[in-house]
Amino acid sequence: MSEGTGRILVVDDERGMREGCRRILESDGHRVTTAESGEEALGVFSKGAFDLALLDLKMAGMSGLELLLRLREIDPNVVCVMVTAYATLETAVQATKSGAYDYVAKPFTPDELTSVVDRALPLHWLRVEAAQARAEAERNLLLVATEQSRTRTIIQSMAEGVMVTNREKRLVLYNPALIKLLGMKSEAPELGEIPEARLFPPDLLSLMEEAYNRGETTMMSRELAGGPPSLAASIATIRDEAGESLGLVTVVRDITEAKSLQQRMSDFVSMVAHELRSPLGAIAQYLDVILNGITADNPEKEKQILARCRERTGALSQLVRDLLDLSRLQHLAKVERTLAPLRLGPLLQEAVSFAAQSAKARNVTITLEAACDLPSVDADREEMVRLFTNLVDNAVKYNRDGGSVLVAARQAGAAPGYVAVEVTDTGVGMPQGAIARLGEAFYRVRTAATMQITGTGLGLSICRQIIEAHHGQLEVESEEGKGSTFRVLLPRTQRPAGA
Amino acid sequence: MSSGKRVLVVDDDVDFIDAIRLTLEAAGYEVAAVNTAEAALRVVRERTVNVAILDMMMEEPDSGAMVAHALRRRPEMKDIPVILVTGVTEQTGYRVVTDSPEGRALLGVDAWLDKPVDPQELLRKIEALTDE
Repeated sequence: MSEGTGRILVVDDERGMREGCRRILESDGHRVTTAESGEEALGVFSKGAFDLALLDLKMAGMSGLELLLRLREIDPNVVCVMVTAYATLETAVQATKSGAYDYVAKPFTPDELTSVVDRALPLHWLRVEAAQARAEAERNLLLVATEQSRTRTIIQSMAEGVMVTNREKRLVLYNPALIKLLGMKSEAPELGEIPEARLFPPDLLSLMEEAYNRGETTMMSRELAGGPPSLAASIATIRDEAGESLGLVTVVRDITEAKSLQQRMSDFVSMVAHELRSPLGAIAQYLDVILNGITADNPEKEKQILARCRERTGALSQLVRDLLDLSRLQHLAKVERTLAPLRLGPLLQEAVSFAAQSAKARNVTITLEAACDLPSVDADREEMVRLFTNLVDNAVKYNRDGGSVLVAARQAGAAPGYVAVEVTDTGVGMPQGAIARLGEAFYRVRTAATMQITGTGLGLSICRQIIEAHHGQLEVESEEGKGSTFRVLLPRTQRPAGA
Repeated sequence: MSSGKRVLVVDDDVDFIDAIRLTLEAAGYEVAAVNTAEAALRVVRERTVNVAILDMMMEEPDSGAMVAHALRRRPEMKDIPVILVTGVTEQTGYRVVTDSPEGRALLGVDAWLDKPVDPQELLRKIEALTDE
């Protein structure tokens, strides 16, 4: 439909009148539909969309006035122009009061008709535009309402405590997490009140006070004193366009986990530093003895010192290897391992042969007993070699000269579905209190008997990680002065091996 | 050469102790070497000690400082000079302590030496602390 033309409904019970109007309006480019009664008009109107209706006021049946009301009910945007005789001018005035836009008096000239239509049509388009704008506004309002409720839901369900205070320092909003984090039980603060030390940590209040007083800063963050839980607060100052403070948004979060991680990191670093410094200090101290000629007349002692130094550097290299292993294992803990069915018999044989040399030097005998019907386990081969080499190594290292080590593998009696590998030694054993601490990084049982034995304190830590990664279990039994048994339980392969 | 003075050496590293013993014995000192704080306390209860050399961290963090503290609490031991052997800065259970008058006072020690210990410096310190 081109500019300035519209869809027009002409309702008149006089045929000549209807057709006359149609010809005039169609010649102006309008699309015209006619109806001879109000009833017919209603039917046509409700099916099609019309911009303008030209209604005869005085018709048989439904009057023009009634039709006007009914049409506007169906489409409030339709513009109605009444056609009337001079005799019913008053009624025409009444019709405009009822929502008709204008009227044209019979008889009228074609120009009179077109000019009233030309005036009336723009009104329709204005109405349509206004209606669209109104609908748009309503949609936006709905969006705003949805947005608000969404924001509220987000704030309510946040793990961080959120609190908004206005320019007057009064509470405008807070969420349940804030109440929980600050440990308020039943006495939640009222909106509108100024946060007080009765409910809020003084540390937080003073930080807020600082944020209110500080002109320039827009964001402050600080750990709060006290706890557990350890809390940190971040405060943002909200400003208007002129830079005036409108209030604060305070976010409180639980940093207990982060702090304990930080603590563990720092503990680990100082333990590594200590583990490095001890052997380095000993080696340097020994070398100073030789360099200062203290043992110059005792070549036997000098040789012994140098041998110890060599041994200590070996232990340092092992420490580096262990640290790298541990870091690799911790990384691997997060990724899926590819586990393959593994026969433990040959693998244990391998671990035992690795330890053969050091066992021979101490005159320690190693015996391997692997049941021939031993089920396979789903495991990473390299890690299993590391695990059992470590355990057999320890059993030799912490043994007495001339002692023995027994490596026994069988189906676990007490734990069906598991394979048990026991490494038993006749060594120094451990005090009861020490067993619980085994596997802690760098923990070494320090007794007179273990003083001379070099170790990194990471071996069992690595073993434990490997066992856990394979969903297994480590059990330790020990008697001081008699020996220890390390029992590794690993889940057997679910399907028969080789199937 | 024999000064007759007895030095208590407490460290959990057998090689370090052996090296210190060799160094001190060559200088004429008698050495009582032990590995634990507990053994150190036993020694000072039973024998005269002229100076004590303590490692800060033995079986437990701060164990050197604990021995120093225990020595200071016993009237007959409170005058034994203590040399702490440790790193330049040590994170102790109390706070980060450095080799400074305050740090030494806090831990109750008279001298502070870094590991590895310079043998000449160790001998000079012992001499200074035992020479009244």
